[in-house]
Order: sequence, then structure tokens, then C-alpha cells
Amino acid sequence: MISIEEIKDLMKTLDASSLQRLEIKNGDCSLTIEKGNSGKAMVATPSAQRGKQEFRSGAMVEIKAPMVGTFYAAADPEAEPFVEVGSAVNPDTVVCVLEAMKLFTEVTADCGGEIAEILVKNGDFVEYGQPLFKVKV
Amino acid sequence: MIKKLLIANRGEIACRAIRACRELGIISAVVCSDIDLDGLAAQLADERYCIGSAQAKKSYLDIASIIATAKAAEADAIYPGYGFLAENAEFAEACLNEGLIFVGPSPEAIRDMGDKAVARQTMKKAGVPIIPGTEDVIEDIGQASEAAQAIGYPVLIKASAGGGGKGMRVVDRPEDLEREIRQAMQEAERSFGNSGVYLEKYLTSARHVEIQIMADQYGEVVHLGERDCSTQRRHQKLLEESPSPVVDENLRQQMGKAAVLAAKAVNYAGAGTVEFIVDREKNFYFMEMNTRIQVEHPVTEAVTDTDLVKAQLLVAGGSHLPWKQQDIRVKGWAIECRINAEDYRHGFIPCPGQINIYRPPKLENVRIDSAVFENCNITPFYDSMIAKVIAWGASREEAIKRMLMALEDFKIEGVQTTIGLHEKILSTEAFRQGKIGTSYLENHLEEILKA
Amino acid sequence: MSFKVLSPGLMSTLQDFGRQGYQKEGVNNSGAMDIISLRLANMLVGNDEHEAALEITLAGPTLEFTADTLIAITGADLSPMIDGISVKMNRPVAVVAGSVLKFGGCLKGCRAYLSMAGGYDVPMVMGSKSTYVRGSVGGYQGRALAKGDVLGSGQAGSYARHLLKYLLCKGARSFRAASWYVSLPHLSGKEMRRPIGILQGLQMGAFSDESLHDLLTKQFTITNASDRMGYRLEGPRLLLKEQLEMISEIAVFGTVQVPADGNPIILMADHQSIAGYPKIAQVIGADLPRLAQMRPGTKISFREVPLKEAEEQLLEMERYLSSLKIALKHKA
Repeated sequence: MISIEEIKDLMKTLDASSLQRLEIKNGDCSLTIEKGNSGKAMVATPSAQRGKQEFRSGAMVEIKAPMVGTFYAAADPEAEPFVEVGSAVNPDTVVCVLEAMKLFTEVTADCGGEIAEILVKNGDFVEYGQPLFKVKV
Repeated sequence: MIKKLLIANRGEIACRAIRACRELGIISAVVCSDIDLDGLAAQLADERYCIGSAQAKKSYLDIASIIATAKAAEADAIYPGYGFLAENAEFAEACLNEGLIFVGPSPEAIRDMGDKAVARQTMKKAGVPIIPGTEDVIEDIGQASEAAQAIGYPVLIKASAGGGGKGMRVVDRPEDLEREIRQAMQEAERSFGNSGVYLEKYLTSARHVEIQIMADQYGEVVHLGERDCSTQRRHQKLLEESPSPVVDENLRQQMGKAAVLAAKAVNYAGAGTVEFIVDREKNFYFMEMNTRIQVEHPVTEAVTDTDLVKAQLLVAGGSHLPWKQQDIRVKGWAIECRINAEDYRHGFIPCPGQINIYRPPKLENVRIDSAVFENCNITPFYDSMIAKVIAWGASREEAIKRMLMALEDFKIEGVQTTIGLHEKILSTEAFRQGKIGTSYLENHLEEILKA
Repeated sequence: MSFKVLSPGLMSTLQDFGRQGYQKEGVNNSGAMDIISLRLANMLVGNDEHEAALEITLAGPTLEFTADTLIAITGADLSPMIDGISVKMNRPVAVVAGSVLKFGGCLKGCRAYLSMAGGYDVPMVMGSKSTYVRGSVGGYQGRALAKGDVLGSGQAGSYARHLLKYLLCKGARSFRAASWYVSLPHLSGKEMRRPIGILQGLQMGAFSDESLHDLLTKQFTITNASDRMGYRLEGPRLLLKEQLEMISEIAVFGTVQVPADGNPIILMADHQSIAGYPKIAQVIGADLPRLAQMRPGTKISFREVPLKEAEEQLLEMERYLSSLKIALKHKA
């Protein structure tokens, strides 16, 4: 998500330039700022990053890593994995955790469907944006 | 000796670090944001790791992600470069906690020099001359008024947690002092999370002269001469040169000695720069110490024939300094121009965009440090630097002439650049005579642009 | 940030790092039994580590939040629930005013810690907010919480205020937990089963060879007569070689002393300032937090640990907490 401070800076920059419109796309987040007829900049609503997505039923969707870290399939070594191949998921289902510097972050599916494939192993180090699961929507 | 280095930076300094790694046989790994995946550093490094989205705080400032990556990559050291986390004491501490070498000084040295008010006191104790000012951060506005009277107007209000030219305000009249202090404190709280401010005498027509030092982990410190960075706009450097037109050998020795004292006072290790302000009478005063490698380090490399980044990696790995003080000799003259994607005719507005044509000059004794290539994008997420042009000559005149030739040959299309501004500055009489002080450019910008 | 006590639970007291520096005047240290859980609970809500948290023992209290509050629950898993919904532990949780926090069955460990952003607004007594119940000193009016008590917080830092706002900004009925958490390695099944590390006690040499052998090879059970002052153990009796005339001397958290009946007592957070019984061993600092999480009925065994190893374990714990603190501080 782009912060309010960053949006304000962009608005100032646009205002001072001769451009009419500024469009920024960053992964799933996009922001459009356009100068209105009065010459003042207006801000369009940014879409939520990794927000709930609409897909055709039957399509294959990837759950990508929202941060860098070590992939763990369960909450702790003694717990059951969050999901397995065949598990049903909805957008709020926690599918795995990513750990960096001993801080664990839960990753939610952000889509609805069934886990078709798990693309990484417990303990693998994953990069930002790396596909972790394939979900049949 | 470091075997594998994780570079926690981007752009030209990341490329610079990769070059030093290749020369030393160190495996290079670089972190990058998703929009830097096709950047030059990501392509040149032996390994690259995408750690987050474009915004710095989600990638290059994300301590946990960077350290987790270093450990997963099995790097034994982290190179912070300049900017981002380079002077973040907590980051340095986190590296040490995790058994990683931080290529830079200790967290304590970063903290001691990072708090400008503390740094002044440390320097005073070490016998390094400091600019007349308040002992500590201002607690009481009434006290500040008295102190300002004693120092003498104009005074400069500086944020204790600031640096790099940010968080400073000039006060010319006593009646403005209280209001300016309150505003400065609010600004400091907002920008740095620390509202502490202190006062210093504001020296006009002064010159910003900094000394490059390098220290190893065994207490040895050498200085590598000075850089004059007086060509500034809003306290940001545009152009640097070494040696300084106002520094003779005697002054160089004195300032060098003071810089070494400063470094030893905080048990410094690695590359560092001690910034001084030099007044008309050639008195020099400590301003601040930058506990990192600086953008303008190539200027020193050019006149002393050293490789500072290689030296950083060597001392961080436990080697002794590669040179003794007597080995350092300043030869010839070097100038560096920072070419940014900015419209200098209209308030230096950043002009991100795609670089359609990029043809750097190919001249003898001209060095280009850049991460840019044809059809790459300058994005609004990071600084607007395109390239650093460094020209060396046997004399100052020759260096200026070479720089002008280089700027003339440098063809960049697709974005506005500051090449034209540098050409104008280098052509002014004041610059040719070496008479530019820190307020010169601001006061004369309009007439320079018209010329 | 604040809450009202609807029902107090078994034993809920405010504890921090304890009253340090007064033991020589006869004042007990008190302080949290599981200091790691306390420190983590504070870090999660952006508090100074030394802030007080509510130490909850076995059966937890029922608390009604009277303002939007950022909390964290660490330590033992006492099945916390807010408005009937299970709330995940070891992470910051934003609670909506009017919600009720309740605890259920004890699944793991013995003592949970509830921190509040801004800390608990109770007076400091001799530099600490810890409660010494027996002496009616400190914490909330010198006692365990009771029905009707209202606890407010001090000023929360900007980190906590922003986090609270962020967690509640998408609208929450009762609460919203952060998606990140810390793990408490000392509470894992494996860790809890490991022998307790000890150093030699000041009077270890006065005990018989057979007793020393038993100490290091046999199991001891934590009896029901165990509390914040000490854990009374049952097992092979530990006997002296011969009668020992002792003048009472220093005792600290983790000192293992043996009265005449031969059943050792491990002194815990509310231990007395001096002890007159022979001291056979000293539990190492790194193992005190997990010892504090062992319930009556638990069987434990001891392992003598060289001083250097004991120090290294403590240092490793500090490095872990130090790194975690930095990672948490920068969690966007």
C-alpha cells in the first residue's frame, strides 16, 4: 500500500509539473492521480494490495509470498499443517507462515477454492512474489 | 576474509560493491525490490534475492527481510552502502546478533556520531575544534535565547537526529528564534522521531571540507585527504572536488590529524568521513561525521590511487589497513559531478522516466559510476541519480577542462538531467577561481542559469 | 486503554522485573515468574520490556475492556477467548471497547502474561510495579485482582497507537489480531521435557555422594505445595554427610535449598531475602522461565551444566530477544 505521505508527495509533484495524469502500478496495487478541470489534483481510490480477487471458476490461481522468509507449513513444529492438497480455502484461510528473524507472519489465501499443489517444502527460503500454492478456484 | 557478501542496497553503489567483490574473489549476493529485478546490480551479482515491493520500507529498509535473506544465502557479511540502513545502529546491532559481519563501524560508533549533539561533545572532549554552539539539546527556550546571543547571529538550528543536510534552519534575528525552534522541534519529531535540536553559529561564505578516513579493527586509522563539497543547494551536494582550493599541505595535515582523532575517539572501524566547515580565516570546525562510505568516494580514489570499497571489505574481514599514512599522497586534481534526473530550471523537480538514449563519454581519466543502461527506468521510488562523472587532471584547470569535455559528450535522452547545470557552474568565474562557498549556488543560481 | 475485572481467576497479579537492589534490606524481589514471556508480551505492544504485565495463573480472569485496547497474551496457553471467539496468542491484538476476554482450559504451561500498550497505570513501589501479595506491596493495591477492579494504561507509544488504528481500521466486532507472531521456544513440548540445568550450590559439598548422585539421575515431582515463593519437590530425599550449622545467607530465584526432611525446595520469584537451609544447587538463569511454566504434578530431572555453558545459554536468549525486538519494531 502506498502511504498517505507518498500520495501527498506525488500530488505535489504532479501539481507542479505540466503532466495531467500519473498512473502507478505496483504488483496488485494501482494508483491514479489526475488533475481536475480546476487544475487541482484529485486522487482515485487505490485498490487493496493482494485484495480479494474475482476469478473464473475452475481457473488455477497462485498464492504468492507477500514477503521474504522461511516457509513453514504449520504454526509450530508440533502442530498440524494449515492446509494440504485438497484442503478447501477461503480468502481468510491461513495457508502457511513465513518467518524472518524469528518473527512469523501468517499468509492468507486471498482467494477461494481448493489447494491443488504445494510448490515449496517446509523450511525452504522463499523470495517476495514466489509462488507457494496453486489453488483451483 | 569475507567469502560471501550480501549487498543491502541498489543502483550504482550496489554495482560498485559487486565490482569490489569480483576483484577480491568474494561471492556477491544482492537484495532487490521487485522493480529492481531487471536493474544492473541484480544482473551483475552472483545471486539476487527479491525481498519486497518497490517502496523502500518494504524492501531496502526492511531489516528482518534483509537479515533473513543474508542467513538463507549463507552470506558472512552485509554491505549497507550509503543511505537506507547504512547508518542505522539497530541494523548494525541486528547483524552482529545474528553472527553477520556488518561492513561498517560498531553500533556504538554509529550511535555516538549519529546523535549530532553527542558527537559535538565527544569531539570537544577529544580535542577536535567544534563550531561554537550549545552544549546539548535545547531544553529551555529562554536558555536558547541567551545561548544564541552568546554565539552571535545568524545561528543555525540543527536536529540532533538529523544529518545529510536535513533538519536545519537559519535564524537571522533574535525575534524569530523562539518560533523557529518550536517549528524545528516539531519537524525533527516528524522526520526523525526525535525532537532534540541544538544551536550552532551559522558561518556564511564558509566551505564544506571533509576528510576521508579509513580505520581497521586494530585501532589503525589513516586519512586520505580532503574533499571540498561547497557546491550545494539546500545543503545537498551537487559537485565535489579533491583537493580543496583553500587547503594547503599544512591545513591538510592539521585537518587530517583532527579527523583521525575524531575516528579514534569512537573506536571507529571501516570507511568514514569527518565533515568540517572552514571559514575565511582558514579556521576549521567539526560539523559531523558520516559513518558510511559516501557517494563522492571516487573523488578521493582518483587523487590517492586507492580503492576504498575494497579496503572496506578487507578491514571488515579482519585485515589490517592496506596502506600506512605515509603511503597516501594526493596527486593531481579530481572533480565529481552528480548527474540527476531533475529539471534544474524548474525547482529541481525529479523527472522519473525511461532513458531512451544513454551514451556516456569515453575519455581518458574520466570515470563513470552508474547503474543506468539504455531503456532502463528511473523510478520515483528512489533517488534520481543517473550517474556520477569523475574527471581527473594533473591540475585543477585540466580537471575542469576534462569534466566539461565529458559533460559535452554525455548523451542522455528520455529524462531531464542536470548536465546543463554542471556545465554552467564549471564555466563560472567564481568556480574557476575556486571561490565557491556553501551559500554561493543558492545566491547565484538565477544568474548562473541565465548565462 | 483499560479493562474492568468481572471475575479475578485463580491468581492474577501485576508483575515486572521486580524490586531490584533492596534484598539486602529484607525486601523480596518478586517479579514475573517467566521473564521471557513478560518481555515478549511488552515488546509485542511496543512497551519498554520492563513494564508490568498481568501474570495469570492456571485459571484466568474474565475482563471487560472499557476502551479500545492493544494487548498481547504470551506464556501458557490458557485458551483465551474474546466474546467467545478463540484469540491467537503471542501477537498484538486490538480489542474493541465492550469486548470480554475470558480464559478456558489450561492446555500448555502454567502462567500467561497479558500486556497492555502503555503499561499498567499503578504506582511504582521501590522502583517496581510487581505485587508481593504476602506483604501487600505493589502492583494493584498490593493484592491479586478482585471483581470490580479497573485497570488503566499509561500513555501508549506511537507504534502501539498506529498498530491499534491499523488493526481496527477495517472494522472489527470484538477484536482483530495481527497476522504476525513470535514463538516462545521454551514452551515447546521438547523444551519442557529437557532436564533443568543447575550449577553447584554453595553447600553442595556438604551432601552425601549418594544424594548428589540421586540429584543428577533421579526424577523429582513438583508438588501441589508449590507457588510463587517456591516449588516443593518430592522424590529421593537429599541428605547431608553430617549436621551443618548454618547462618542464613543469600538466596536468589532458582536456588535449590534442602530442609531437614530432605525434600528440596526451588526458590522462585517471591523467595525470601535470605535462606537458612543448605543450598545444594542453583537453577541456571536460562532455565527459570520454563521451570516457571511447569505445573504441580510435573516430573523434572536435573543436569549439571558448566558455568560457561550456562552463560552462553543466557547470552543466546538475550541475542534472540534483542533481534526480535528490532524485527518487531520495524514490522510494517
